[in-house]
Amino acid sequence: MRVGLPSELLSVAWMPELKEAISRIMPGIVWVHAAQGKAPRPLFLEGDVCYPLKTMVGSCLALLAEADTLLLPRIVGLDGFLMCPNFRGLPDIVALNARTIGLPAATAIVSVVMEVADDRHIKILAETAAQGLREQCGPGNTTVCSDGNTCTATPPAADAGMARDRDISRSIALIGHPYLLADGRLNNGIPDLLRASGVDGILCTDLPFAVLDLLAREYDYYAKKLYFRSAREALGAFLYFTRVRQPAGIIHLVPFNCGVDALLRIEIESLHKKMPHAPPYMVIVCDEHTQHDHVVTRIEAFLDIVNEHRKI
Amino acid sequence: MKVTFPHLGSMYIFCKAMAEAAGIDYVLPSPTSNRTREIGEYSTNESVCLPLKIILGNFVEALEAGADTIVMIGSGPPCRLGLYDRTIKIILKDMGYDFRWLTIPGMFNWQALLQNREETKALRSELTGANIARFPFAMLMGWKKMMWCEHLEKTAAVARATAARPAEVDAILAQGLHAVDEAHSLSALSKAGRQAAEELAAVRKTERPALKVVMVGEVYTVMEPSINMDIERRLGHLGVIVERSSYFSSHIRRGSRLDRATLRKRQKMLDHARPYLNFDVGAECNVSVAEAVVAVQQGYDGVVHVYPFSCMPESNAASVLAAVGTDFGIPILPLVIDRQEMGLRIDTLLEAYVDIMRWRRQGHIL
Repeated sequence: MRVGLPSELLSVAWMPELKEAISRIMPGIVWVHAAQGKAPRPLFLEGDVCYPLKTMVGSCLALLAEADTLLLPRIVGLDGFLMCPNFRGLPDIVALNARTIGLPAATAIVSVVMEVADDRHIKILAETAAQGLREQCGPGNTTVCSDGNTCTATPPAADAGMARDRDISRSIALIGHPYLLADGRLNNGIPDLLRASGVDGILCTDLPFAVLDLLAREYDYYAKKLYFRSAREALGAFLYFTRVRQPAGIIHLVPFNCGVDALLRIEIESLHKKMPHAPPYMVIVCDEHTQHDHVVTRIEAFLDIVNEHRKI
Repeated sequence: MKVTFPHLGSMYIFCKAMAEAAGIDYVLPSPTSNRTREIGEYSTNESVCLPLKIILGNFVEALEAGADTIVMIGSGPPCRLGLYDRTIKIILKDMGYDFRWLTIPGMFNWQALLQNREETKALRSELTGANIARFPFAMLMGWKKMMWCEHLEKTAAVARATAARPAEVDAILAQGLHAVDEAHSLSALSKAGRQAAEELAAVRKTERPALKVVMVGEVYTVMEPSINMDIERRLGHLGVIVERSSYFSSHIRRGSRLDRATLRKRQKMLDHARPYLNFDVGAECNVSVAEAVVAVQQGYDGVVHVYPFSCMPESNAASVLAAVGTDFGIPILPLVIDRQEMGLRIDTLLEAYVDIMRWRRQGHIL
């Protein structure tokens, strides 16, 4: 059975664990993460939704046309904190568009509500998802397909890239949503640009969430806690890279129109202004623009600032 | 202590009444203007939603006018409104303002109560026994005024669409709201409210059949006319009755969780969104969709969907509403509100929308 799971979701926390747990229950699954064909143009997708959501809807529609079924978890909360509302509506938006475009009926989407805080939840969720996949395709269809476009890019395990003995003082830290950091289509190729400039880029997703959450907790105030997981991740990462281990600079990647990051940017910029010895910090808003030169210019300028800052 | 609060439709009348009846000094923010909006824009970023920008501008103008204590409405996740107070406090402090802050919890839970206790610690020491003793009456007065304001607004929305001179309705409504605002006793309030309602009922009508639309969307943009380009009044002048479920009182009822009937009604309403949304996306998203579906069932002529640019729940609703419009053939007008000087273009847009609804009613468009 070929099960589609959009590549953008693979970098979201707990998703590799879920995928692995489902694979253990249903070893016949061939995962398809990227469709060969072009994504159909969604008919019902408001123009001002963020670019990652647009991309995810497109990927899902393309996968629906090629896979036997699409596994699209409704990611509500992870580690006790919320994902943005777009993840709650994603399966319904995909189903609406699939129905209208004439792709397989909405029942070809297996959507489980994902609220995960530990391995026990993953196990239960995997069983529910496997049950849904079985019902979708029937027991006779759970055979191995050999022509699947399987994914080989597994996100690094937490802390893998940030070993304590690694010197990050000459690196540039990249903070932001995991799918933005992982997907070149969404981040304007900024990690590649840094590599091409001879700079080592480190990602906030290499740090365990528990560490970041602990740092972000300092700014919670009763009911006024940052309830979005990605916001806690980014704030925690900023605090980690300014207080615990300092890189040469920090770049915050933000999708245009991201409601969560819009508020978080204000908070982080305010904190950064008050830190006398913080490394240079820059926000880059990533959009679906195609011109690359201005991104290159901004990275070059930032690296100049970083070099001057290091001399000081 | 001089308290201030943001503008939200006629909510200022409720807040003023509370402060006056309890004997607490207050500063009413200047009416929302381009300057208000610019203050918010220059101090935030492009993806911050318009309500935050405007509320921030309201607070800055009130602080400049001498306020020292900000009272803000709270909310729960997953809407960003639940984090507004956290963010606005940071911005105001960075701008150099000195102020005290009190959030009225959007959801009453232990954390909110503890926060409220902490925030009111200093304020309580400044309140006299007389202030506190007058609070129950202040609450009653505020609530009654709010109910009159909402009743007059609803009555005016119907009267305007059928009036021979819709501007007359606007004038009566403005006078009525002013009279309600100025009333200092419950009897004076009832008299002022009744008089305005009678005047609205007595307005000369035309024979023209009114169209009926429902206005759905994000709470702030639905309720604040200076933000939604006064869409309710403009459509009324074109012979359209605009109905909406978002009123300040309905959100208080829902947030307090005391009125079980309101909660049951909302739950039942959410079921209407089921064919399109199988999970609560958050804020008013599912309600917007549900109200549109109900509007179709009840024979309304159209749906107006207003929401601020970058609003996450409502951009989901907008995608779904486009499908609702296609499925049922009902005209849906999405208005994404941001900094835009639409001028007279909004009237042209609305005239075209009303024409479509009239033709559809006459059977010219299927």
